[in-house]
Amino acid sequence: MNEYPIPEGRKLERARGVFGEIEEVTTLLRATPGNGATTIAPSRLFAHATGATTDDPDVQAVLLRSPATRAAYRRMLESSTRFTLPEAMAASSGGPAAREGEGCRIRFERSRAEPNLFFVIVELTDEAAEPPQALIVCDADDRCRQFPLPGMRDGIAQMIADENSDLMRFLGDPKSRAYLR
Amino acid sequence: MKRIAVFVATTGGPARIERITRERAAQSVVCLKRTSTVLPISGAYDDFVRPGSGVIEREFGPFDEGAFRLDVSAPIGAGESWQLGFFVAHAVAASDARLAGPDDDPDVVIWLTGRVDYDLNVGSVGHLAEKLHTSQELFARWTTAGVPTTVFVHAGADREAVAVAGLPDGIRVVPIRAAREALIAIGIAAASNTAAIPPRARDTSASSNPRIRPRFAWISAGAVVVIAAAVALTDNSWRSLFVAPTADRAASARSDPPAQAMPIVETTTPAPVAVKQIEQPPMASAPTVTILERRPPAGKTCADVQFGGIEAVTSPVPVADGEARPSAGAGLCGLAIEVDNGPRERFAYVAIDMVSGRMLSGTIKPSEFEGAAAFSGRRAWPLDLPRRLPEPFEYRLFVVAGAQAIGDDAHRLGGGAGRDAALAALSGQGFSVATVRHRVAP
Repeated sequence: MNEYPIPEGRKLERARGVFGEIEEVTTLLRATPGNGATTIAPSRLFAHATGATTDDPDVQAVLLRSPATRAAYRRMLESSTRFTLPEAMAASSGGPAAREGEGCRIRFERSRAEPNLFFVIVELTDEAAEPPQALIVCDADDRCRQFPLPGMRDGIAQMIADENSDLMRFLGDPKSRAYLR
Repeated sequence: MKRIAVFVATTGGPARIERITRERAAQSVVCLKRTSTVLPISGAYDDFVRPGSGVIEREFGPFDEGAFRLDVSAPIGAGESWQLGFFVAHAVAASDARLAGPDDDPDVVIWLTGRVDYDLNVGSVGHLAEKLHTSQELFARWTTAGVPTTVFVHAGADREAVAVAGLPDGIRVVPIRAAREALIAIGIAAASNTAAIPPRARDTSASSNPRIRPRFAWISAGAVVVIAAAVALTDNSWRSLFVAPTADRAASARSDPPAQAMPIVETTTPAPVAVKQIEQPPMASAPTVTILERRPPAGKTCADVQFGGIEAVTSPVPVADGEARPSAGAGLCGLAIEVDNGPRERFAYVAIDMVSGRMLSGTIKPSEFEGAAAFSGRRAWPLDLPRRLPEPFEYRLFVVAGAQAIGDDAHRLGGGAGRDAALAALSGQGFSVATVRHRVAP
């Protein structure tokens, strides 16, 4: 075990300066592609939140590490999505609870043919609304996952998901919120 | 219980329909190998199932609320040639037979490719040679195992393609023009709500069904016989003449109700303008057209008539001024359009255009009613009504007759902008054209 004497006075100030420089260098190095960023430009975060980009590993890495970035992402997401599904209703078919938001609804039906599968049914009450392309689910810690939606028909998008899939896990969390973008 | 293995032909090889399950889903889906993989044809399949756009729920329903999950053993790409196989698979599932799954030893193997339209007519498909080639292993397997194997294709070009490609010995080829013919061949015709008219009900020629009598007399010799065609042509120069049927015909219908009005024929001469009149050979006797109501005999139901081989009681529908007397849907199993050419061979083309509502036929229009083959005596086209008739429907019947084969102009009578031009063209060619509107109320 190593032991360090804690500096005081001017020595402490100098140590802070040195470690600050080291941190800046580390940040610069990690910001290069492939090294994983610790900070990210707001424009990239916004692009990710609005769906302009969907596969930005740096953004995903920062979101994984930074609660503050996740919170910012969540705010951007909420401002850019048209449908929010915040409320839980009674569970159906032993699956996750249905959710209903303004102009939309999501429900779950367990498959009779394959009981480990669920039909995930996203319905828009306004069939004329522009069909959303993705379902995003965020938990209480602002960890969000995005799932592409199949094409809507008559205001309905339907997916089949395994009960152990990420989609069902996120939607099965009663504290999570879902968004349609 | 007979186990039937249904294979849909694709260019990548046959895809077995393994299972059909009614689910509490919002849309019907096609899944691959019992997984969560949804095939891209699911949207088209959902359309094919839904009442209104499709035929499955109409033909085999009603079902519990929900939709179908249909599992196949191999991917099925774009196109519509899967429709015949899916239709028959649903018929199997709705019948006393069983859809053989991947672990079942089937009693019968069927291989199908063809489109199915809203009237259950089967359409031709492409890439048949490739589909047959990629199915050789399947054919060899089941014929070696001694399992009866049948190939269903559209009669015509597809049948020719099969003949050219060749099949192993023991494979039965059944060319069809309507989906119900496949059900009959498999022995599951009763599974369908409307597609299962017993074959003898279709052949209502004079010899096979003497109870059907002509009620819609028609005089044509050299003139154009039109009922309400004047409405379409809006030409006041058309002259009407109504002729009642002969008394012996009226009396010969086994269970005709007392006639409220005598069947009527409107005969007109063609307008002198814009119509080129070609002299047709004079007809020895007038062909007649009759609209018949088909009801169950006493103590029987429409189900007995449509599925049980019980012969319907027929009664003619009186016609006046190009309008048939409205029919009451209660107890009405269906209608029939009968053309009687008498002893002389003539050509006839029959078309129905829906004016409002929807009528389900699901039955086969006699090939002679396409205007390409002459016939003598009677031919009838039975039309079935759905079990429940929620709203009235009205249709317009067109019948074209003549001593010559009737060309493509007649095919434009079924609706669309070309109808008036078709009427004029047919009249100009000297054909007789009869038109009647008929309304059926619930």
